[in-house]
Order: sequence, then structure tokens, then C-alpha cells
Amino acid sequence: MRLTTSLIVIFALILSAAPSTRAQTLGEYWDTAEEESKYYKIVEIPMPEGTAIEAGSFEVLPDDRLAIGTRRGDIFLVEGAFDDYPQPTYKRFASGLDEVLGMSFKDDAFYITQQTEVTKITDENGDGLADRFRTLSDAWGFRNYHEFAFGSKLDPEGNIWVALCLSKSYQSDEPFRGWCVKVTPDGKTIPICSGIRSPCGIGPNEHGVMFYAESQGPWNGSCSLKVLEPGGFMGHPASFRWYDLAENLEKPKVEPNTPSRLMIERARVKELVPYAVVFPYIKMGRSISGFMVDRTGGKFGPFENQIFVGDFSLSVVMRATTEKINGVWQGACYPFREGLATGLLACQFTPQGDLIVGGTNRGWPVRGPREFAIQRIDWTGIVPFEIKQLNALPDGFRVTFTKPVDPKIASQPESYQLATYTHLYRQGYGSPEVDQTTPTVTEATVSDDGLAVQLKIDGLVQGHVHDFDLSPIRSAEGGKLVHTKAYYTLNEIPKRPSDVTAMK
Amino acid sequence: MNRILLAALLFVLGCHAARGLAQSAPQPSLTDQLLAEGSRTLAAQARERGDAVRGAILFSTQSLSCTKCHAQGAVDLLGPDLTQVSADRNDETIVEAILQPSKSIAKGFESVKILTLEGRVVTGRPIRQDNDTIVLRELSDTNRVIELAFDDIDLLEPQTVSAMPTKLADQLKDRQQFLDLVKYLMDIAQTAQAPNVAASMHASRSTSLDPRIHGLVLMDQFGCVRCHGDNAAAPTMHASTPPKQAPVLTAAASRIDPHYIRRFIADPHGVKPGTSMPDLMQHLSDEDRDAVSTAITHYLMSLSKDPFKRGSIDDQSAARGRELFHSVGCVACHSPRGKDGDELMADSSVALGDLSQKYSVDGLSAFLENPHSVRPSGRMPDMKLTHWEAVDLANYLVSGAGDDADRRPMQTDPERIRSGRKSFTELGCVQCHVAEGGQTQQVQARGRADRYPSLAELNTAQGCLSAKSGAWANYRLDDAQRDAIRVALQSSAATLDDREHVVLTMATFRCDRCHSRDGWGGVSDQRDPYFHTTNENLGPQGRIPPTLSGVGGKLRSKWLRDVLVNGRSIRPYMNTRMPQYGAANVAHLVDRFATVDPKPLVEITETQDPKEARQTGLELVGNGGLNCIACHTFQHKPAQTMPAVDLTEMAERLHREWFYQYMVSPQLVSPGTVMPSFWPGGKAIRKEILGGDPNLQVGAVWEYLLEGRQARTPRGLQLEPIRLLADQGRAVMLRRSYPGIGKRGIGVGYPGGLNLAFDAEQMRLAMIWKGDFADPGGVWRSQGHGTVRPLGSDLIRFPPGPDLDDAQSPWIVDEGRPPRHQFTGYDLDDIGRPTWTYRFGEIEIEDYAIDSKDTDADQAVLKRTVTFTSKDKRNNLVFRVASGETVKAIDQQTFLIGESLRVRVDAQHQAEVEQSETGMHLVVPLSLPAGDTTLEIQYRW
Repeated sequence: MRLTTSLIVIFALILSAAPSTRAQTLGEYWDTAEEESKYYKIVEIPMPEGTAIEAGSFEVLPDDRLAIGTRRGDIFLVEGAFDDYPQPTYKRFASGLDEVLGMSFKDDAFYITQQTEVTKITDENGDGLADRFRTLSDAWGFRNYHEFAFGSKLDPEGNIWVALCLSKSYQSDEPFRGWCVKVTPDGKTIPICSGIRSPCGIGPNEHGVMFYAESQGPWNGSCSLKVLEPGGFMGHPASFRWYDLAENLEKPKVEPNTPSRLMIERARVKELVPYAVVFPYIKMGRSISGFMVDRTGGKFGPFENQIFVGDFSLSVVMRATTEKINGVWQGACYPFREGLATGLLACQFTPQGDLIVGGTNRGWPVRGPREFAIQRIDWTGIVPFEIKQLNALPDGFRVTFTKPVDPKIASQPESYQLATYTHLYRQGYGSPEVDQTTPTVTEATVSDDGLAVQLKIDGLVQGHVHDFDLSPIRSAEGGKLVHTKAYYTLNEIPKRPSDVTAMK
Repeated sequence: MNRILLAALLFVLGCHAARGLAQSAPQPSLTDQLLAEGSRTLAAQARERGDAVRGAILFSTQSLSCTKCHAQGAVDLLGPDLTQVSADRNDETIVEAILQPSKSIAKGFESVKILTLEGRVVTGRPIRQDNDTIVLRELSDTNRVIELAFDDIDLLEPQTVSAMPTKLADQLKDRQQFLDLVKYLMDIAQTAQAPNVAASMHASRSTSLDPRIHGLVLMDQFGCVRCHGDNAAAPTMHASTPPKQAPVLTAAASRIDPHYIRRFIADPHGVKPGTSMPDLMQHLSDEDRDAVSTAITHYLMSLSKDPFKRGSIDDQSAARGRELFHSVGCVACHSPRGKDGDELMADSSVALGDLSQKYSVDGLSAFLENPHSVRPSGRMPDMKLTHWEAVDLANYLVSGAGDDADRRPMQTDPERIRSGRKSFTELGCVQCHVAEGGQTQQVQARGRADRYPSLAELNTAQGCLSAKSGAWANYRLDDAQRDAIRVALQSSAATLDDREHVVLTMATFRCDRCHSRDGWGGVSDQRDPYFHTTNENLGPQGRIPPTLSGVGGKLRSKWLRDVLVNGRSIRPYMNTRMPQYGAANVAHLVDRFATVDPKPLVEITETQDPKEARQTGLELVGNGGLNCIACHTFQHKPAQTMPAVDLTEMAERLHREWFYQYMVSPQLVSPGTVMPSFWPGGKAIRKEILGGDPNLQVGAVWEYLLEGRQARTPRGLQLEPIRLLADQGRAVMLRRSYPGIGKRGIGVGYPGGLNLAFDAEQMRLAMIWKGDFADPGGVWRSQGHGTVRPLGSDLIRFPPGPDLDDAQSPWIVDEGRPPRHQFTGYDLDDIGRPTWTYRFGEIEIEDYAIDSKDTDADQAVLKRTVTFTSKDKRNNLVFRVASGETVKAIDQQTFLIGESLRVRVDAQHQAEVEQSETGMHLVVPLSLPAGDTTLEIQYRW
């Protein structure tokens, strides 16, 4: 049967030299899943058949149950989700809520953030079902479905920070749309900062400072992690109209110009907080979402105290690290794990040191095929050879690795390919990469233990993403890097070496 | 064989008889109804009202199976190629051919019935004959072609009945479907242009393996190269796959019962007939064999950290395991088992031996979950079992250990361990097995050159290849096996081309047990019943693994690698799984397939405007075009009829050239597929789109599919409706946008069949209705931009504005928030009914409604209790109870609102009717003392 080779279908041949104007696609994977799976395996958390569980937030209860807050407004309590081979049982604790996109549990009470409000939920009669719902704050306007509200877990003072999406990409039609507000345990609502566009995750960075995940769009050339600085302005000026409602804050005197560059506008608008970690579009996700710091004490591998952040569109998990240089937050992002089953909205470390991720692919284009899923990323115990961290130095960067490098290769400056670029800071949607430069690594000094390399660089560009390609680097055993790329957003170049060590 | 054929024939006859009975039912069958109409009317109606696209889909559905016998370009099937020009075919004869197939049988398609001298009866269509033999395509199994010698024929009788089933139209749902089918046949009639291609059914499954390749497969299986060195320059063994390694024995004695190990070493072929493990001790006395096998067992026990623990069988788990064993693909190689665990096809299967004597449940389960850790060579593949599936399968396979099993723990003895270790090396076990951690030896570096001749130097009449016994490995080879190995030894692997390497690898890993390629391999008739699907509508394609003929020209390399190495799969409906053999073992196939299988030669028209093409593609894929969405899954959402391969993964999988070829001639590329041809004979059925140009149409669909996961949803994707209802006596609630309420609506469906929606922004009862609660589709689908749609009936809405307000200076109602009202939450009672709580200035309000029934009238009633708590006395308040176009007082307490709503206010309060611009309101003026005040209201409608 050689049909397929013998059959020739001939069509009329019409040659055409039209240029291909392909729509922007979801983008290719990093194509590293096969290698990644040796170090981090994806474990399915089965769901009850016929129940749609579109995870929007997670929490671990003191009795080791997993709590899931969903887009459809349920809170499920799950027993057995952390078992090696999960066969969990689900119990619906509460329902009828509106997009549960933030959840904490403390002293027998859930503190959730939904579209309409921050709510304290308890089970007063102890029958295992929620029966008391107390509104802690509904201080913000809500008149468009896209006005999503993402809430942090309780901070050490018991506050919940809520990032409030704009009405649409370009407008702030209702009070506090495009703001972050802080809701105190006694229900006071304190405005924190303006300028948010479309948040998709909120929580502390590895130093305990509150950050949020911003999406690409107007005034945001690419996705980024930003610090929620009290009194600050996050970049999108549509929300300026609500300063009258924020007695504690003063409206910025000037508005940003468009199109411009963040570095230029930073100098003009003193409240403008530069994006701490830019995730170059498509290369590093397309809609970064929920994130959490690895406090597992090494149970999740060599990335303790780093930020793990999901992506909704590309169904990947990435890492990020931050540091404060010259008083400004900045840092780097790194690929971590691809091939999750659905669009990721939230993630949660388990007491066992694994990372639960989950979400839905509803509403926007998503790489992961499943309508909804919850999965767990388990470390296999084998240390991957990875770029662990990038840190800025006055004259370059320090690259830290998870395993000792081959010193011969790592000490050659040409083993490090470096490019820089930034994005337009403008009212229009997103931005291409612009102002490209190519700095030169002049010197690479490998530490005695082989775990770090100091790079001296000619041509650092303040305000630019520094895009590293370390493909030639090998481990001491000759292994290749699982991921060869890393991206550092250089808002500030450290003035003195001590600026760097202060953050260590 | 004869018996099977007869049985099949009887079955078919039986079916016809059954249909005959159905005919006598009072309701006339569709065929009878249509016959009564007459073929002329039907033909005219089909021309006018038939939908050819729907007809095309019907033509290839499993229930009609038209394509089994009528395929474009095929000449030796049971029925004619309906795209071929035929003088007899016109609109009316097409109708007749379906309704009365025997009225006029197409020339050359008459069937004959043959009685052989043996007494066997065969009915079929003669497709070839010469002076000596006649070749028939069988009526009862259209896949089967039979060749009979005239000398063996007793009687040959032409049939006057058509091979085409009668009453075929009864398989259709209704008359419209018949018209659709006829319209399709009218459209394709006389469209054929392409020259005929020989029929595509895999009649020649018997193509056997080249003896040289067969020999190489055996040499791999028995690990010849483990002892006999190969010539690196002109190797006998192929280099694309690492040589097979025997199981790693490091933890064998905790996985496997030491008693079994001992017996197996002493007599491998006796304990596990068909094993690849040789008997290495045939030159020893029975006593010595016993001593050595015991010593080696002690040695292996000394290597295992944990002792062997048999474990107990969980019967339920074992029952699930039995199901798995016979469905996921284990029985493609191993024998299916009868109820008592007896092997049904031992002769044609890879031997398992008596697993109940061999493994512990945990040991086998761990092995099945990750077979490559013990058998890194992947000949036993990873079946992608979950942990719990592996446990189930182990429970099944280990169950049935008889009482004869020796359950006494074996005690190791240091002296025996030492001697066992020595024998392990001396006998040559170490040539194949890794036992101790650091003992992984390179094949070439075992210093055996002095002991074993290289492959090139072998005397093929001696030693292992002789039938004699002696101080060599005895594999119990049969003569055919010895011959095959000898043939292989005489030729060099260096002369294998890529195509042969593919065959060799496929044979080594037994891919051919499931997949056919170029006429070789495929699921055997015997094992066919073990290949199942979750959806019969897909036909054989739904359950039989796809052919690998031309697979390199079909699948993109990245996808092929994902399937071979990363366990990706695209056919969730197929119960048999594509196993994993390990990257090191089979990844080379990706490049080899690409090398040997050319992409189909098709001319592709590059589109001028991809954006427009994409838009047209979207239209074609939808139900207004070619209706691909009727059968294909879209973004994991299966179609209503069948879950055919996901449209959003096509472009990632397929080469564009293959896609073009397949779209135009699905039947030729994939015989028996239920995929219809929308361009029969190269002519488009949808002529109005893109000028009916097949190339442009296929190109547009491709352009659309390139969007992959972000392709826009085509028209016609049927979504399961979502209905949110009160459940098990508990109220259901949903906070979301409702019609006429801002985004802070909260709907409640009471178990008694009443529903309400509260506006938590304006603090008002916003609407009430009866019956089912709500369809949340508007807020639970897509981005959630819609509103919750109340279901049920008798919906009554109340206008905006808070229920409680100041009588003198009320809030001027708009769409926003009243400034002095603050929602504070709700409590649920024991069946989930809420009490809303809010504040108006200093006043706290609790608003609780329950569903009830009037005992006398069985009328549902909503009883609402509103409690006001004020610290101080508070006058001049007004509470709105209801609103409508009219409000009429029926008595002191009762009022009729509009036409149907009756509201009753408690006797402690006097309600008033108030007229405003927006309509009439029923309000209760309130003067609150310090403390609690309660207002009770009943709503009946």
C-alpha cells in the first residue's frame, strides 16, 4: 500500500509573492519541556467528573487541605491534593461568589477577594459549609465585567492589598479603577497607588514587599512585576481622576507624555514607579499571572526565596528575582517550566514543598488545551543546571548558577551573548522592542566554587532589559543549561559595590 | 476460518431478518414512506432542498458505511466509485439505487455465491479472474479478499440481489437526511477526473518480515552481542538502537519472590516458557544446578535493601486491572486472558510466565509505573499508567497465586552469597545483567574475547546455534529461528538502508503489533476485539492505531518526537495507548521517517491575503461551510456526533502538503475513514465560496488552522447548556450581573421553586420569579461579559432605588450607589437561604426571605421578614415593599401589584400606595423606636 507516495494531486498552480502578514500567534514554547521533565515533573490533581473548577486562587489550610477559590465563585476544600499520587476528595465549602481571585485563611476564617468586595467568610455552626459572609470592603466601583479585583494574602499586619483593574484597557469609569487599595482587618480601605492597568496577580516579593503582576497593553510595552509603592503611580494615567477620593495621597502634578520612554518620564513624573521586572513579550509569557515566593527551605530545589510566576496565555511557569538598587526595585526573570494544561491564574506552594498551579483557558487565547485544570509541579530531587540568578554590579552583572560551571568556558567573555532593549512607554497598546544595543562582556571571572561568574560589561544601558543568552556555558560535568536565557531590567546601575551587597 | 466466515454470514442474514421483522411494525419505515413518494418527486426535491455538505458527512458516517464499498478512485470494492461517469446514473436512478438497490445492479458489480468442494459458502464480488482462479471481495467482510481455485469450486451461482444493503434509508434520521444524501450523490456524480488507483483496503496484511531482519530482531531479543563482539567497521547489529539490556537486578529480590528467582535460574524455559533468558547450566548435574541457582539467588538477595513481601490482593483493584490489561494495549503483545487467568493466545504472545508466583503487588506495580528503570532498553514499554492504574494492573496480574506457593522466607547465607556472586560472573549472567551498583560494564570491555568468539568468527552450526546441549547458553531456539539468525549473521547491518532500519526498529519494539506500514503489520484479526473506542461513530479509526505508511510525510518532526518520546497523544477516544519506549531507543525514528517518507507532491497556491483566507477558513470550518465542527473537537470541546481529532492541533501536527492531499481524497489516504470528501473528483461542493476553487478552499482552511489554539470559535460549536438549580433541598446562590441590576446582583434559587435577586449596591429586592433558577452562561462562558439569565417563569421586576430611604429627602435614584447605604454581607440558614445585612446611616437592617406554601391553596409564597435596628428613635422613613404599573388595595393588608402579584403586609404596619414618575409603589412608612422593629411581607404571584 504505497498510496501516499504514488498519489499525486495536482492543482492549478498560481504563484504568488504576497508577503505573509501572519497574525501574532501564541508563540512557540521554549521547547525545553522534555529536559525540564527530568527535574520537575507535572502531577495531575484529578477533579471530580462533571464539576468545572476554574481555579483563581489557592490557600493551604492548617489541616493540610488545599482550598481553591474559583472564577465561578466556589470555594472547594480538597483533601489529599498533596499526596504523592493524589486521589483527592473535593468538598464545596462556599458558592455563589463572584470570581474568587484572592484567598487567605486565618483563625478559622477565609478572607477572599471577589469582583465586588473583600469578604470574611466563616462557618459559624460548624457543619462544614460557609454560613457567614461579612463585607470588609466594597469601596470600589464595579460596573464592567472586566473590572477584575485581585487580592493578596493577608500581609503581616492582617491587611489585604487589592489591585483593581481598569474599566477597559483605556478607561477608569468607576471609583478606584486602576488603583491598589489596602483593606485593614477592621474594614478600613486605604488607597495605596494609582496607575494600574490590568493586574493578574498580587503578593509579596522575596523581601516581603508587596508587588503585582501587570499585563501588556496601554502604557505597558510588556508584562512586568511592579512594586506597589504607597503614593506611587504605576504608569497608566487613566486612574488619576480618583485622587479626590484618596485624601491621604496627592495627585501627580504632571501626566506622562506619549509616546516616550519610561526612563524619560520617570524624570518628569516623580511618582512614576519603574517596572521592576519586565517579562519580554512572548519570550517570557504573554499574560503573567499569580506568583508566590518559594519558602520551602529547599524542598523545591535550588531556587529558595525566588518568585515563581505563572502565565495565563502560554501556560508556563517562570522565575523572578528582585533587588533594590539605589532605592529602586529591579530584577530578572528566567524560564522555568512549560507545558501546563491550561491558562494559569494562581499558584501555591504546598507544605511538602511542591508547587500547585491552576486556572482556566476561558475567555482569552491560551496555549494549554484544557478548559480548566489543577496540576502540581514536583521537584524530582535532581538539581537542574540553570542560571540561578542575575544581580547588577556597578560595572556589570553577577551570574549565579545552580551547579558549578566549566571554568574554562565560563571564563571566556564570548560565552555570554548580551543584547539590550526597552519598550515604548505610550498610550497605544503594547510595544515592540526598541532602542536595541549590544554591550560587550570584557571579562568573566569564575568564583572558586564555580557557582558564580562576575561579568564586566562595556555598554550597560540604564532603563533597558538586558537579554542574556548563555548557550555555550557548560556545567563542570559538561551538561548544557536547561534554559539558556535570562532577562534583567536595569532601572538603576549600582553606584557602589556596597549597594549590591546590602541586598544579599 | 470457515466457521468464522459462516458465523459472519449468518450474522448478516440474521440482521436482515431482524430488519424484516421491524418492517412489520405499525409505523411504516422511512424506506417505505420514501418509496411511496416515488423516485421522481424525491429526486426533484433533493435537487432543490438537499444539502450536499450534510450529505457528505452522512455518506461517510459509521451507521451508513457507504465509503466501505464506494470510494473515490477505488475499482475493486463491492460498489462502484460514484464519482465515475456512468450512463446509467441520473437523479432518479440515484434515488432508486438507495431505495431499491436490486432493481438495477451496476454492471460489473454483480455478486456470486460459491460453494466449494469443502462445503464452504462464499458470497462476494469477483474482482479478478483468470483461467484457474477467481478473486472475490467478500460481502460479509468488505476488507477481505479471497482467492479460490476453480478446481476447488463445486458451484458458482450469480446473485440477483445487490450487495448493497436494502432498507439503508432506515438508518437515516428523517426524510431531509435522505434528500441531503441524494443531493451529495448528485453533486459528485460524474466528477471524477483522476485515473483510477488500485483499491486501498489492506488486503495484503500477510507481507512478512525479510528473513535477515527477522534474524536481527531475534539476535537483539536474545542479546547475542552481549557476549559475541561485533565488528565496528562492518557491524552485524544495527547501530541506531542501543543493544538490548537484560533487566537490572539490583533490587530484583525485593521485587521478585526469591523462590521464583531460584526456580527460574535453575530452569528458565520450564518456569517461563518462551523466555529470552537462556539456560546457562545445562551442562551441570541436577544437584549442581540446584546449588548454583540457590547461591545466585542468595547473592541477588544480598543486593536488595528491602526483603520481598508478597502483599495482599485487593479484589476490586484487580477487577479494574483486568479491564486495563485488556484495553490499554498490554494485550497487543501479551496474551489476553480468560476468566481464570488462562492465556488465550500464548503462541502468538510475549511470554509473561506465572506472575502470581513471581512478583509482589508493590514490586510489579513499581515496575509497571516505570518499566525503563529496570528494563532501560524499552522493549517493555512504559504504558503511561498512572500510579493507581499500575497498582490495579499489578493486583490483577499477581492475583491467583495458588496455595502451592512457597511462602517461607529464604534465609541468606554468607558462604552462598560469595559463591553465587562468583557463579554470576563465571556463568556469564553478568554479560547481560547489571546487578551491583558499579557493575555496569561496557559491552566491549568484559574481557570475554578469550571466551566467546566474535559474531564474524562464529561457527553457526555449533554452540548456542546447535540443537545440542553443552556448556553454552541454551535459548531453546527452533529451526526457523536458527535459520533466520544464520541469515542475519551472513549479512552486514551496514547494508541496511533507512527504510529497512525503520522496519527493523518497528519489529524490535513490536510497533507492528498495532501499526501497519506499507502493507506490513497492523492489528491481527485475533486481537482486533481488544481494541476499543469511547465513540463508535468514528468507525475503525476510532479504535485501531493509525497506519504508519507515509507517516514521515504526514507528521511534523516535532510532533512525531512528542508522540514517540514525550507521550503526547491526540486521540482521546482510542482506549489503546501509544506506549513510550524511551528517547534513546526510538527517537532516531523521527529523522528516519522524515527521510524515507516524502511529503506528498501537491501544488499549493500561496494565498494573497492570509487574513482574509483565515476568515474564509473560519466560515468553511463552521456549520455554514463544510461543517467540520459537526464532527471535530474544537479546543478540547468535543462535537455532538463524535470527538474527531481537535481542529486546534492540526497545523501543529501535520505537514501542509499532507493536509492538502488528505482533504481532497480522505478515502484514498485513510481507507475506511469517516471523513467525507468535500472535493470529490477535485470539484468543490461549496461552489459559492472562493469561486469553488478546491485549492483556495483547502488553503483557507489551512490558514485558519494555523491559528491553532487561538483560532476563533467556528459557528456551530454546540455548547452544553449550563443550568444552575437549587439542589438537594438547599438554596443556590450566585453573585453576578443580572438583567436590570448593576454588577452587584445576588440571585437566590430557593428549593421550593421561588427565586429572587437582590441588588447589593442599591439594597433592594430587584426581582422575583418562579420555577428554575438561572442560566449562568452569560457570566461563566468566555470572558464573562454577559448577565445571568433567569430561567423559570412569572418574572416580576422592581425599579431601581433602595427599599429603605428617608421619606423627606430620599436619594435621587440613578444607576449608581446611594451614598448612605452600605452592604455588610449575609448569613445563610441551615438550607442556604440568606439574610441580607446592610446599614442605612445608623440603622442596621436584616432582610430574610423564605419560600413557603399556603397550606390551603398549595400556592407558593415568599415570606419576607425585615428587621430594623436603631440605637435611637428614628422617624420619617419609608420602606418600599413592591412596585408596578398599578397598585390596588384588596383589603387593609393585601394589595394587588400589576396583574398578578398579591402582597400582604403584617397587621402592625399600614402600607400606602404612592404614585411616582416611574410607576406606582406600595410603601410602608416607618417610625423606628430604639431597638428592633420587624416588618413582615408576603408575596404571592
